[in-house]
Amino acid sequence: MSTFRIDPRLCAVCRGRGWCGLSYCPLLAKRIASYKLKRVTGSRELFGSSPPSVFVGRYGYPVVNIGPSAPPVTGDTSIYDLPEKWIDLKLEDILGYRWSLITGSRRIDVDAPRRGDSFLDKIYEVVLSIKPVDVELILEKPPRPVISFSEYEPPQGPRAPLEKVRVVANPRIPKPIDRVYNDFDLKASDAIILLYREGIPVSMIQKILSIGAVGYYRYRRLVPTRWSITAVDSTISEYLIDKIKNYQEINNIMVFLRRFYDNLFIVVFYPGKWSYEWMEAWWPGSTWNPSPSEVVVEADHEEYGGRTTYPEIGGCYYASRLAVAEYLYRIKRQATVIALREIYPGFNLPIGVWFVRENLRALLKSKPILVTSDFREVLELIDRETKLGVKKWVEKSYLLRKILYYKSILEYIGASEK
Amino acid sequence: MARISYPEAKYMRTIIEVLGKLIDEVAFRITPDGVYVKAIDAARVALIDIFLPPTAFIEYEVPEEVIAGLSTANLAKLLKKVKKGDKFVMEVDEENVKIIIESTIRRTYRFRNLEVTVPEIPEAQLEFNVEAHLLVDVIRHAIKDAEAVGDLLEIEAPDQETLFMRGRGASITETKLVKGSPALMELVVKEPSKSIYNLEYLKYIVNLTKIAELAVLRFSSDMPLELEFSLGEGRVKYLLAPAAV
Repeated sequence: MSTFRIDPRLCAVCRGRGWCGLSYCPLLAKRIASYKLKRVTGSRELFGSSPPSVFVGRYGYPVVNIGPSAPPVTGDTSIYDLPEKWIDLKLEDILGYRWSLITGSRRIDVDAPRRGDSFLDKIYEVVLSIKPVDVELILEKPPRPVISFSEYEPPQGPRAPLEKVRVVANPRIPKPIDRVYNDFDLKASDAIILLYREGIPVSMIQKILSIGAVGYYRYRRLVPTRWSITAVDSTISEYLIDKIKNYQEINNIMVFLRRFYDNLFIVVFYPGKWSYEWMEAWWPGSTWNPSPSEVVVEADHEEYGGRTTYPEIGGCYYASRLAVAEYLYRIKRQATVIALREIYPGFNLPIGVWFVRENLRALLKSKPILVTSDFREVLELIDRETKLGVKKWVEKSYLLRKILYYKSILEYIGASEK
Repeated sequence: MARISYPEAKYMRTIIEVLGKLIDEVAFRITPDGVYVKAIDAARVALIDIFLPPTAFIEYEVPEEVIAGLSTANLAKLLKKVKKGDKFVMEVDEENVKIIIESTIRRTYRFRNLEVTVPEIPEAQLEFNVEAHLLVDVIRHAIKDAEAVGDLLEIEAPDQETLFMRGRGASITETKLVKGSPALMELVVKEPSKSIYNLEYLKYIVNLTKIAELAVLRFSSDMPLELEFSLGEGRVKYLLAPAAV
């Protein structure tokens, strides 16, 4: 955490009131975590309840780091690794939770689920459970208090090589999870959808996929956490989009808006066949923009037929698409959807794509701030609410331009579609 | 029941691939006067109109009009493997559509005849100010070049002699054609015209240049573009709305 360049004198007078312009207080967050970690630093043994939580690394694939995580506390720790619940929390609290999760990891081959591995069996016991499981981790050396960030995964706490793990309590494995785990002839993608339909949280499905507990037996393997998150978002949203395409188009334009910790989200639903666009504008000083002055705007889209290539913008494309598809599936309509996000300088920590998914889910639970049939009103709203301004957004956006500029061929030939 | 047999399955594959980019389900209207396909893409920007006369087929037994409704994705899948010289046979009744690929071996596929709503599209009575007869390769190259710089293609006919095709984006590429050159066989300009079209939609039909040799390009300022590919016997017409940038 050496990257903070805040004047210490400012902190002394601000005391967590956000004067530094960041959307969370780094001192407080660090304080909360180190308080919880105090009990374990210096010790090689850790006893706690795993939320359940697991991390599968991606470096060195196909030999990767894998290990369970647990905070040094027992009881209901599920909130430590359940992004679905985090959206109502303060950023300091989320970081506090995450940083106090200690991961004991070991390097194993990704093929291990197929070959059988006693270490992996213990991880299954922990991760397949819907409730926190008490575990005892014996580490090879005391965990280093290193704290990590990534664009994809939620923030990670300290890590250390694992010597031994003991599952102390009985896991509670829900029926659908037990079923897909024991069904060796069920495709992984079908298993993901089955779990989703049974109401298992997306973050939980991601963990189950990453430990290789689903799929045809001979294809079972470990999936690095970062890949499995996008895989699950993409698989579920594709399934929903397939259904959405059979629904009627919406009648009016709807616009939703949400501001959250130096982030602005706007989603526009436009009457038409399914197509989707996701755009992000990073201000200088925000997480992914080191430039001193220039706002960086990225956009990616798909037409009715879907994509064949991975979007340049990354996993948040699929995370956002999932939230949007869930909404359309809920209202049983299809639409052309343009979703955009502005990230202002105060938001400088990479926190994971869950942030996008959960924010959009929350946004789409609210009421639309504008329902209209006049697209000009939408443009005015975007101009008013965004800092970037409508002109720049339209320049970047394929779908906005398409709506504005591409006329229907029917206008020219005077036909009506049945 | 109708039975038609097309001598070159590869041509059929190209046509289906192009259709697949625009629509999910296709309705072949098979009448005693020929086979018609008309479709508008999901975003309603482009219209494709295919006509194959009975003479294009080696076997054509159509006592009355039938409609064969098929999924383009399924059709494209089975046509993926066809080789040059394979024969494409289609047998249609109310319930089923049977597709037979005849080569050294005979493969038969049976599908349910899907109910695909045929869009009611009147014969487009559009007047065009420019008409050009071109080699298809020219169109393909112009589209490929334009793709490298942006997502728009500008077509301009400033006078009776020249036709420009420009890719517009961060930079500009330009293809200049002069009347009388082997690439531009004929050019009729009633009124100098200039218009811009979405490359995304032109890319879809680039494959048609594989099976056609000549194309007729018609357009007017800020009006749709019509590309007509002649396939020996039969034709494919593609009508694309302009992009008003």
